[in-house]
Amino acid sequence: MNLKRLISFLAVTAVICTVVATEQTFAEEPSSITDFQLTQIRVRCKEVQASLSRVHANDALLRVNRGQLYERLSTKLMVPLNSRIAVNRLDGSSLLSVTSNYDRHLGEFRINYKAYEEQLSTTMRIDCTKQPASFYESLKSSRDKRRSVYESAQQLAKDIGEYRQAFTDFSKPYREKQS
Amino acid sequence: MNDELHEERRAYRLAKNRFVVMLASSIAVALLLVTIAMILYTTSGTAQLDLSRPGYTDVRDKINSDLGLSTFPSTGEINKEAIASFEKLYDETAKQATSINAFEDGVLSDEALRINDNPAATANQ
Repeated sequence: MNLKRLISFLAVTAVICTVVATEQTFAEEPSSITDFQLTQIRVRCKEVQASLSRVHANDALLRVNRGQLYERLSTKLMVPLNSRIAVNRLDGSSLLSVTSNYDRHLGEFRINYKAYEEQLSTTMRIDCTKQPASFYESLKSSRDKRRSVYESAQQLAKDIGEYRQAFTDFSKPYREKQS
Repeated sequence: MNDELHEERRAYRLAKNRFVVMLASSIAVALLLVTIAMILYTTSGTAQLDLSRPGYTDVRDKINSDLGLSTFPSTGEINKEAIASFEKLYDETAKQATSINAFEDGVLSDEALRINDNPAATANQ
């Protein structure tokens, strides 16, 4: 009985050690950063942090200004036009479809920006003189999240173009009729 | 006499305790409400739009508070004038909203932050 307990204990200990060792291995897995870059980060830490602060502040401004425009396009232009078309009992299904996509992408843009801002703030809090590798990993994650924000902004720009095209198609018969 | 004194002391203690309990519960309620408010502030994404936070002093005055965009009326006929009016409003706003490639990832690159792997390139920057 005691032997069984001892074996079980050893087995559990071995599993725990393996898990911990594996995690350690992953944590210490050599990243794409080189020794030269690590030195650069340590030496230029303050400079890099200042650049990140500038990017952080400018992005916040861009988010506010761009966000206002995106919101206004939807609430002040697309939605009222769709309502007006519906009130006049006309077919605006293509415009409605684009508006729906636009609103969905706008939601994604908000979520992606929030995730990016939080990640960049985390990166800025890391002491790059003491933890250059962690700093770089966090910076890479910030880049990935910024790319998602960029893609969302691109998607919104595409939707804005599609809505314009849908409106041109919709208004064509009315223009021809009246000209 | 003793009973009266005892009763009086008991009433005083109770009144004093009530005051302390009221103070403590007021503080607890205030803390709870502040915590809820802070959770909502951070989880809703409002924090990211709040440029009154420290660190945004330089960009605070660059917010476009007057975009001059009027709302397209949601009632009325669909005719040539309405179409022209919508087109004008839409094109103006769309131009502003797509004028620059926002959030390009180049600004966080190794090169932009001058931490690239090429010693020569870093020295030249």
